[in-house]
Amino acid sequence: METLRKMKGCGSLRNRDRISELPDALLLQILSLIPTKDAVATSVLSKRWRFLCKMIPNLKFGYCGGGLERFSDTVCRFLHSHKAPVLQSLHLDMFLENESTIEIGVLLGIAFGRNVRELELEVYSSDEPYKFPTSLYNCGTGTLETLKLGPCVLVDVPFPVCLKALRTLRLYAVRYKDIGSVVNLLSGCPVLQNLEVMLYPHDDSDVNTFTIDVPSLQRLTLATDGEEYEYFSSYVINAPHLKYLTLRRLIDDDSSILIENMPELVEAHISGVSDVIYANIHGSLTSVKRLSLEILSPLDLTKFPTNRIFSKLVYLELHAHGPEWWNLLMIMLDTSPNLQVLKLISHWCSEGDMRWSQPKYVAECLVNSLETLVWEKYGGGTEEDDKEVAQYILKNASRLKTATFSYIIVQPEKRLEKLKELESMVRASNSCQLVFK
Amino acid sequence: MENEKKMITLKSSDDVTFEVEEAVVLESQFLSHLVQDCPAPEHKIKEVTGKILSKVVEYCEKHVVVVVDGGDSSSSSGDDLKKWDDKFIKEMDLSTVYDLIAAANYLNIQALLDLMCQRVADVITACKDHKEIRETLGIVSDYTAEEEAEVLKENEWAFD
Repeated sequence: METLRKMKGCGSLRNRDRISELPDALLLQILSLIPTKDAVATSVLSKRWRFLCKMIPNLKFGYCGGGLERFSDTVCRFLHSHKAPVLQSLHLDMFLENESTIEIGVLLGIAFGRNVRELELEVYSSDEPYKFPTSLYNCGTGTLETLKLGPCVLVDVPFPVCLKALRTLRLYAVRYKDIGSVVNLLSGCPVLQNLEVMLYPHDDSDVNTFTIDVPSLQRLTLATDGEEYEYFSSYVINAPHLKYLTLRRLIDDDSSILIENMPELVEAHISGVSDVIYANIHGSLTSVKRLSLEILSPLDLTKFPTNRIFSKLVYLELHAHGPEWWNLLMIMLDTSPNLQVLKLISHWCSEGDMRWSQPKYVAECLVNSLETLVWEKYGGGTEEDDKEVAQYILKNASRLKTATFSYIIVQPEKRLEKLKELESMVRASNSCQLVFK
Repeated sequence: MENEKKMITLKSSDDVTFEVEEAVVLESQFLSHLVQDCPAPEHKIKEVTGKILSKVVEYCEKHVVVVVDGGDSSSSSGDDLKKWDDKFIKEMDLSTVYDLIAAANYLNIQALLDLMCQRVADVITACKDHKEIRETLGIVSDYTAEEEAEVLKENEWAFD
């Protein structure tokens, strides 16, 4: 420490080797962030760096051709000489081309033998998907806390398994051998908390039902790749302790979704979901505090449950998408008596046949609780409707503290016009501050 | 809702003082324990200089989670924050980065530590070989020619 101070005192900071003065733990943290091959190459920098790479807790290897056997041999040798007390993570990034993949299993086996905590296996293949070794779903899995697989990985789980420490599972566009594989895998994770599933249609698969039945689950993301999607025709979610739910791009009207009650749900993000599918799940979301909705409009009001009450909802974000987007807004205002923050985001859409008409009564939350209105891209949807909805909210929200509007319009004259228009609107709350961005 | 925000004064090793809201201090695990355990109005942080502490405060003020009426919400959206982070590190020389790594480690501010380590990692990966890394980071080799050849041979696979 004394010499350090002296060195600082003499002002010769330029070009001094300050990085090597950092403690091992911090250098290892830096080396954990670069590909392991590059980290190993730092051993030649100076004696200080020589053996550091053997202690890196997080390893990442990439393969893109040049002989899988040689690659695997190198990684295996490195793993054998690796001395970190805990192998925190192993990330393999593989580009395969018509190769025998038996080698991958060998090195995964070694990693499991070293009690790896987190495994991420990212495979791209021009040929068959890589079948994750069935034996690994059971072997040495007492320590595996995180498993991330995909995209060209085949999940084949012919029998019940036990991944007893697994808390986080990501299945990114993987293939499933059969429906039983999904069931066997998920039911073998007794403490699973986070599940992220991105579904991708594979022609040769006959899996059309995706069932998530995980009592311990707290966080779930379920998404499709966004293309017209007809492969999974039904989804079943039974996660009674779920707290956070994200659903993305479930747009096929013919598919069905069944969600059991989620009384502990705190937050939900539903985006790119068709109105028919949303109508099925709307009633399961009533316990949320925060909700973000981007539903494809117009809603078919004859099939929509309009009587579910969202008594805990304080924050609502709603994307104004497509014709008659305001129907969903009006339903949510009517059924959320304690709403405090409303955020609207307008999206461009063509004028529908129907125009917004002011309701004859005022929603409870406008009178009693709404304090903040944020409207992004105001006037960016159907201009007249945006204006009338804004007018309605300002006129009735008697506890409103701030209303923030941001525009997509850039011409100064047009902006000024919009601004004047908003300023001239009647406001129920005297203390409401208008903010323009 | 109009309650006074509690202010805390932090004093650097070279006696530069910073007055910050309590919420800002809570970004640091170390400081939040300190503030809880000894409720003095001023806290001296002997291990961090004024120059570095000002950066730490700047970062924490940007990243502090504020309570918007009703729901919890970050003061800035994720994208904005990322842009801000990029600019924050871009303008910084490596010497400051090392000081911030040490400070973030000491004060236990994980996100700042991650950001700074990532910056150094990016510098290392951008170098084409170990000679360039030495040059960029100011590392002087203390290997003899024979020793260096041995290390190169031992880890041959990492140098092709």
